[in-house]
Amino acid sequence: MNNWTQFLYGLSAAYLIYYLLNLAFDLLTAGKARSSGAKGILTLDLADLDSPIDAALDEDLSSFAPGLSQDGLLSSGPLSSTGALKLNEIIGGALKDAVSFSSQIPS
Amino acid sequence: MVIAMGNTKAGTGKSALLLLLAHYLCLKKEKVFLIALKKNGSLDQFYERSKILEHQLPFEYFTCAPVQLPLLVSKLNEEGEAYILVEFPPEGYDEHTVPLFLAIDLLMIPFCYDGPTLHSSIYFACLALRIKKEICLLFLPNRVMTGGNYPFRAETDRVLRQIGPVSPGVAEHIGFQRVSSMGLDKGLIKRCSAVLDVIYSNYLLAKR
Repeated sequence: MNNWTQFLYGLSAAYLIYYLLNLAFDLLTAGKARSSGAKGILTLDLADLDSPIDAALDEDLSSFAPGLSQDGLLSSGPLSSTGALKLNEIIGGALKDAVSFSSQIPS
Repeated sequence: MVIAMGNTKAGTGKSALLLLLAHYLCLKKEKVFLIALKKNGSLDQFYERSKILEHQLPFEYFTCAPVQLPLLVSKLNEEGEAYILVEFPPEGYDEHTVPLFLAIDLLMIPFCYDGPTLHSSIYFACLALRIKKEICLLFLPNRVMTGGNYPFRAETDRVLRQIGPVSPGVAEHIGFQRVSSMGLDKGLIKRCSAVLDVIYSNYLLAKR
């Protein structure tokens, strides 16, 4: 009636059905969690606020490098810089300013 | 418009004044968001108490890490025109908090006419100016005793005005010491309305 080959086929089929059901259940619950959410409550997930790096080649480089082609260059948005000032220098400068103002107040 | 209240010295009345300003602006039918950058600070405690007392707040309250303020501000700006009030922490200024100063439109510095808070206020203003040269500052005298004798008040105001404008002072009142939640006594707001009217018309509406 039953031999080892049939038994192994049956076992494999059972495992396959089990994992397929597991996968289907996970996909179903994940979809539900995404769509549900309390209405009227403003919920901000700060992790989602980080704007992705804009890889679009929208920087106009022709103004400072006329011969330069934009092909093959990636842009991460407008450049920003602190002016290469260290915070210690800023704090030191602010302290000096503060002393010069404070010394004008009689005590 | 993003308005920050800050001072490197704790206890200058930042939380109470910010709360007062938030309620005042709501009475003016303005949309207000209140943000605290310090977890478990005074505003956080007031908020927890308000939750227990089931206060219906006329504004929305957030807490966030200092580094995430520019992101939160940009997100809240999408909600339409509003006043975003931010309480700066008294300590922890490092390279990561420099963008805080770049994200605000007006920095209000509450102070009292006594030595320690005065010097820390001047230092904080100088620090803000070093980080952002064109920053709008407003010194806000707090806990001014009615009929109190301040020997060098005129000289102090003259020096402060070299750095930034000085608003009329907020008078000391027992109501401020009784603030324990985000719900504020209407009488207290009314009592301070003259000063708040000047700030609103001269510094908030004008800079909008």
